[in-house]
Amino acid sequence: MDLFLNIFIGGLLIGGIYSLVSMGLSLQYGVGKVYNIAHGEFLMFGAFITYWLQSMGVNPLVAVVINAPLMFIVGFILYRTVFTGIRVRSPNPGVFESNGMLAAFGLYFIVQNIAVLIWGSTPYSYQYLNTSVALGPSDFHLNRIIAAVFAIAIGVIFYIFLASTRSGKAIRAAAQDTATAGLMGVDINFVLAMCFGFGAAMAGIAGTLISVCYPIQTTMGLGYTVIATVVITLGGLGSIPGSFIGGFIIGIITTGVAYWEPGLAVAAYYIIFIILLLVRPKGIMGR
Amino acid sequence: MLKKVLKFTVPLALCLILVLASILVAGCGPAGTTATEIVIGATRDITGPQAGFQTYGTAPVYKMWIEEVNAAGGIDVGGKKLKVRLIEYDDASDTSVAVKNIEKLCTQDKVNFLFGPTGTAMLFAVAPIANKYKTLMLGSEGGATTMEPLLANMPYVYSVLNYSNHFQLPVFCDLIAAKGAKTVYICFMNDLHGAEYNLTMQSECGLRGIQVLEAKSIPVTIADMDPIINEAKSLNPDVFCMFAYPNQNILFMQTAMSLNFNPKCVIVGPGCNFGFFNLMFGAALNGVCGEGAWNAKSSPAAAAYAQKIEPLVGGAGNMDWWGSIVYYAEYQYFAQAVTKAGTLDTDAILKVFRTEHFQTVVGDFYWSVQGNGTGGGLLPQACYVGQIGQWQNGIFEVVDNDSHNTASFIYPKAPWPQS
Repeated sequence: MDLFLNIFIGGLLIGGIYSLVSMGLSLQYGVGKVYNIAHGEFLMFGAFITYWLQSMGVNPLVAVVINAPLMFIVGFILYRTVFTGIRVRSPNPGVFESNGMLAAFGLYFIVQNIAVLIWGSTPYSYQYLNTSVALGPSDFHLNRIIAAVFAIAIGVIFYIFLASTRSGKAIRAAAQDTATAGLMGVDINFVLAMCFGFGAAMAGIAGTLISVCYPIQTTMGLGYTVIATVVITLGGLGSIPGSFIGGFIIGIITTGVAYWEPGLAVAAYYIIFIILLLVRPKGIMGR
Repeated sequence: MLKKVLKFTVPLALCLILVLASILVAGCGPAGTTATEIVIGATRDITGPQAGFQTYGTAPVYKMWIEEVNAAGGIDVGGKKLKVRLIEYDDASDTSVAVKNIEKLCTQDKVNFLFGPTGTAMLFAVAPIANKYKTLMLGSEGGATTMEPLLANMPYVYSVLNYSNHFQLPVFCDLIAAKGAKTVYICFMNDLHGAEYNLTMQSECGLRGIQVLEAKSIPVTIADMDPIINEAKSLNPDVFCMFAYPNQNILFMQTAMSLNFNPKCVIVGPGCNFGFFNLMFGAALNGVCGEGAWNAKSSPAAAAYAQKIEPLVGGAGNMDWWGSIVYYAEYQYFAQAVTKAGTLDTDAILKVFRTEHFQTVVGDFYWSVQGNGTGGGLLPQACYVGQIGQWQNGIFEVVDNDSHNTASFIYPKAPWPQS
């Protein structure tokens, strides 16, 4: 019983961060139709900005209020300049998806190389609330508990935003059918850019929370993009609640596998991914 | 008629004599007299996951050595000073690209010599290519037990770095056995490096009656060390071994500190040997062991070298207290070997490598040639400045129980400070 509780609580703690990263990619891919392979690079930049701020004496969690708007602006501008251009020149959505992905590949290399030039490839880490508290049968990291609480709070706030604001409704409409939403008077270019911006902001926030708990490196981004891809497939493309729940499910499964055989923790992502594609390709909350 | 024949044959014969004479002169004299420079090639992880080594590994060392050599006019080859030129290609941590790079360096660029690639897996991939083209490769960050039998048939490959059975873990196990350690928990990266350290540790523990409680492999992308630390905590080992790369080792340190896991001895590496570990963990690192090892206290020459290399790697955080000094010693040896051979002919230089000792920054430097004296080379234990380091008050002290020792081995280490 203790083991199951350990796995459950440990999975929830790491799953919170996975949820946040995945909600961002879900917005970009599920709504914006850009499979942003550079999503993890926004996360990495967020982590390094946090590292830089904390080295100047700023509380790392305060970095969220700097990171989120900054990444939103970068993401918004990127979509309006690069991806909107590709979208309007593409003859159909399929061509836009493939060209958008290629552009995102380019973005991935550009961002990573800039980061390597600035910070090199050395791992960085800092100590923030690196102590433990007893939760049930075991001790758990205080910084991870705080990160998970932050991630859940941001997920819930974003869900309320989607459910109860005009902009949120416009995003949901665009997620269901972009063309029809456009015909109904939704400013699609603005809404899609906003989705991309929100996705980047969430990656930036996730970067802050990751830097609080784990070592960071300029090459860390792609690994999180892979995890987010598995989570959004599990949750259902474009489904924000699906990504939110999916993050926790993946967190619990991989923690369980790590208790049994740590060497298979990564293989577990791909096994889940393949099973999902075969059994339920639209995910648990996909339509 | 005779005049006509002579009119053509005499100039022809003269030309023939001239050609033959020039061939003879070129063949008999040292090649160094015709070469205008020494070209050394390298395939390195300039980008990619292991790119950090380009900052804190071998690359800054060979770049510094090349600058020094060229500032002094070059290497003396048969009485002529030849400057060294480096051709460096990026393999982005991809072994297939590294293999192509080495092929290009050997066949198109026609380099005289090669510097080793970044890491053991790369070394495995490119060493046979260097050997195929009979191009001498001077080892870098890599080294492996499974490489040893292969070196017997690779006379052009010289591996300079120490590793698990060569001679780090025997030294480490002697240290912990002498202090009465009875149990060990091993966590290792699921790649060649980790697997070799795990197997060697198990074997060395067995020889000394130390029980291995568990050996767990982890992937490079591991995000959560809690399951391993919780299990280790429940088993309460005297010694915890973390044989992984810097990212996973930092995660281990954070997790062990946070979950208050305090074995009597911890060995962590590679990564622990770099200055950034000390900058990250500060006093908490006191008593933590790592592979290596050398420091400024090892000798006056080592102190001077440390002072020289530190600004070039970008400060104390990028100091490598494991391999840096032996890489430099290897290049110093190489320059003297080329001068002694008096030629850039690889086989002539290899003859010198097989027999000669030269003085370097680590003192007397020579090779242990594999394959009964006809294969590639490894560095003998006597040439290393140390095998095991332990952080003590910000210094990566050499704690080997021999003349290399710069401080006593602390066992048990103090518990992690509570934040």
